[in-house]
Amino acid sequence: MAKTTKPNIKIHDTSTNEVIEREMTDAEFEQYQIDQQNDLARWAQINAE
Amino acid sequence: MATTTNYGWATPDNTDLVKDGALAIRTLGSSVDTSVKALNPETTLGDIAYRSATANTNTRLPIGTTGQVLTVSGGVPAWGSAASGGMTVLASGTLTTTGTTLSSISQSYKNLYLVLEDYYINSAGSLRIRLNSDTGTVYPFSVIRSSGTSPFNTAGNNAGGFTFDDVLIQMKTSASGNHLSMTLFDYADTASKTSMFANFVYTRNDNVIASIGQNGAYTTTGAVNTINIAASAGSLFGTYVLYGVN
Repeated sequence: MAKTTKPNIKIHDTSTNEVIEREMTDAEFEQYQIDQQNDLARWAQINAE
Repeated sequence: MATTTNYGWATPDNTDLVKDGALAIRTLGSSVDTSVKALNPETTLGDIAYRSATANTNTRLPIGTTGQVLTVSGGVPAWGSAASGGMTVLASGTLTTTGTTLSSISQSYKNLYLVLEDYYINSAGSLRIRLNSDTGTVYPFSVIRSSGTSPFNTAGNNAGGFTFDDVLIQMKTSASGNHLSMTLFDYADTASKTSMFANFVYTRNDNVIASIGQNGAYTTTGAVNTINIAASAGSLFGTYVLYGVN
């Protein structure tokens, strides 16, 4: 089975100025999807008012 | 023997003999000299004198060094370092379209000041700024909008972060000159909530320029050490600078 590609996220460590950009972890991707769904619902609710 | 009112210098009595006049003058002169010196203890250019605990005796405060300011220490004047202030860049860079996290934020400043320049979202979404990865409904806000000819205000309590938009009207995806500045006040206090104020301006998809002031709070008690910047939908573009402010 082909690996699912998740979006990238950038982490900027402000104490070391190290910047890494990597694929989201499963947990991060799950939250990312929840955020997207919540936002869709929010827009729909406000547009309906 | 008579004495003066304020400093108690000995002066000749009316009945004293003229032959004792020279001695009386020397005695008076010596007393005046001592008093004047006690009142003017400065010895060096820039010295300052201030009242001591002893009557009619001042204390010498030597001149300070370049940049020092006059302050009070232990109830008396003293030279000290000027209070530091200003802004320090903690991080800067280009936003990643699906999310940028500023981590390990120094707790050494009074406030945080975040600036986004030329930012836009290429879809019908909002800019979302989340603190400490906290997805709770802990981001109350109120907004004053000035967009087109219909300024108004609104308020609420967001889940998952502060959101910045103009009543969900999509941003113009190619617009430049959009700007957001956000201050997190007293963010390092581990025993308090964090208040926030932001100003942002951007061009909407209908070419109306949205100019918005938004205040709010992160109501979870504790210091802020992580800021996540993302679009709630679509991709986010632009640059960021995070300052520590004292």
